[in-house]
Amino acid sequence: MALMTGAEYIESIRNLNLQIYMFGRKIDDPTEDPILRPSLNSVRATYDLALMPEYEDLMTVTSSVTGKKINRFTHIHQSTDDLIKKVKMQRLCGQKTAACFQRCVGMDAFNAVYSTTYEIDRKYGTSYHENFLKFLEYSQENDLTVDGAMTDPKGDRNLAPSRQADPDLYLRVVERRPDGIVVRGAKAHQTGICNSHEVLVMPTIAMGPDDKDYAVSFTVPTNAENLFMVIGRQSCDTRKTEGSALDVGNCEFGGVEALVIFDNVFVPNDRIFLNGETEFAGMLVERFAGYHRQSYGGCKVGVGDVLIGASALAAEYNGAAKASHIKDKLIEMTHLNETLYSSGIACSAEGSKTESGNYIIDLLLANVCKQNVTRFPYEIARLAQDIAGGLMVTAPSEKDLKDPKIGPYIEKYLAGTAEVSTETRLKVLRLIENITLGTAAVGYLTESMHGAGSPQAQRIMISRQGNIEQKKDLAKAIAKIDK
Amino acid sequence: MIIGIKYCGGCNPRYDRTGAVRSLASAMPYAEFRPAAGKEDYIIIVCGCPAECADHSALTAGRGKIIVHDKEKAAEIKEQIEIRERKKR
Repeated sequence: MALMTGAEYIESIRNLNLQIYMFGRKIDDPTEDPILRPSLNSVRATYDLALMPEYEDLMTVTSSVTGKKINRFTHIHQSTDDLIKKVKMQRLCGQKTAACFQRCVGMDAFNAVYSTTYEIDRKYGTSYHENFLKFLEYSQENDLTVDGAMTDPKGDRNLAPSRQADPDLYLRVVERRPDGIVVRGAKAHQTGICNSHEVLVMPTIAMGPDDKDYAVSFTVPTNAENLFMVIGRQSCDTRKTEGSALDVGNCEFGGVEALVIFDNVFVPNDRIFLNGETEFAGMLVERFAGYHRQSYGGCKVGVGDVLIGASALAAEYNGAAKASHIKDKLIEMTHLNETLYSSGIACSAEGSKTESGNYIIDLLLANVCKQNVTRFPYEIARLAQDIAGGLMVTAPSEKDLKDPKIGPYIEKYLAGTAEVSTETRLKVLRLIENITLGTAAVGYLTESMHGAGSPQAQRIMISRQGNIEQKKDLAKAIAKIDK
Repeated sequence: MIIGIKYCGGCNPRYDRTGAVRSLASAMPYAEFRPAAGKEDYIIIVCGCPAECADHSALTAGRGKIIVHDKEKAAEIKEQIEIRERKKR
């Protein structure tokens, strides 16, 4: 089974019987929960699109491992063209879901672990790369969704993992056995974990010799014993339980995040990719972060496309589409969105081959890409709210609109242009609300800020890679300053 | 006549690619349209923008490939095929 259908994917997740908690209770069937289901649908889209002829050129690729047709989300990049197509695929998926479709993090982890394990093995004679290749083939053959889990809770940010008051604030090895290791800790902000078959754990920061137990990378199934998840709250999340398609803005797709607890989870030896080689923790983090910062130059752009379209519709429905300031704002939104895309494509086109043979993005440009992503979606969202008008946050509910007594008044007084129904007008305003301050704003705004590393993390990388000395030499040469 | 269709991935198409193919199919009722497998008389590479990034390197067509990336060119496909067919006769 190289490609699963969307329906097969849903069933495969249902069969995992994941341990998911929300609002103080364990969820019986997460795949049918109204708060969780939209996020599952977003991942499902990555399966459905792969089977559609008009999208398969981006969504699928020939496996470098098996030679079979696979979903690109399980692919190891073989060229800069693969890196570019990855960004294009992400834009497409963002356009089709207007949400985080969650599968990028696994693809980015695959590519970072692939090259890092190769280099660890070369130095230490370990078999991590072979372990990973086995897992990779298994993932491709079964078309799995894999959560890449990096972010530890981190406790006191001023202290190294081994110096924390509670040693579990960074995930660590608590027992080494002949057949494997036992790990304890947690990973925070895990988008997509509750829709994944496997979780690929990586360290969250560069580490020193004292952090040996924390330098660990591995995979386990998401239904592994002693692994459970606690879903995070989102603004407007319980609207999804009210049964109104209109009020939620995007009734089909969404994303949720969870805190994942590893409460003494066993990892067999053949699923370990790093185990104490502390000097490689930084390499793994840097490569994963680089790939994931590239990703945002695709996925957020796709969501931005939807938001720009929604803003243009809102202007039309308000009768303001021809106003010059509206046109200018739409141009500005498009400019910002395409600038994000430009840096996503640029860091891909400037990619290079690693020692292992897969391709990695240009790290400077990938960090510039993500730095832009920490800013531009906020400005695009501000302009969308400007165009939408205040009704976006003051409109009554669908129940009021459908109420026999109140409804006609809402129809009458919240009407826009005569060609469009009040309900249609409200639909597009709710979509803008959803993306800019509802449940989807978690993905479009705050995730743009902190996902794949907070802004300062990119600035550190930009500083390291910016080559200021060469720029000073250039200035000296032009100004005729002696070296 | 069998016509194979190969789409680009559609990340940011400038026109309705599937709509263009539907129009073509209705204008050529005598032809069989199917996803390109590499054994068709003609293969139409339907790209959404001038980047024309669709990978069609593994596809070979009996009578030729036609690549389009905008709706104007897409609207001319039937004519192009007819011209090629006339030349062959």
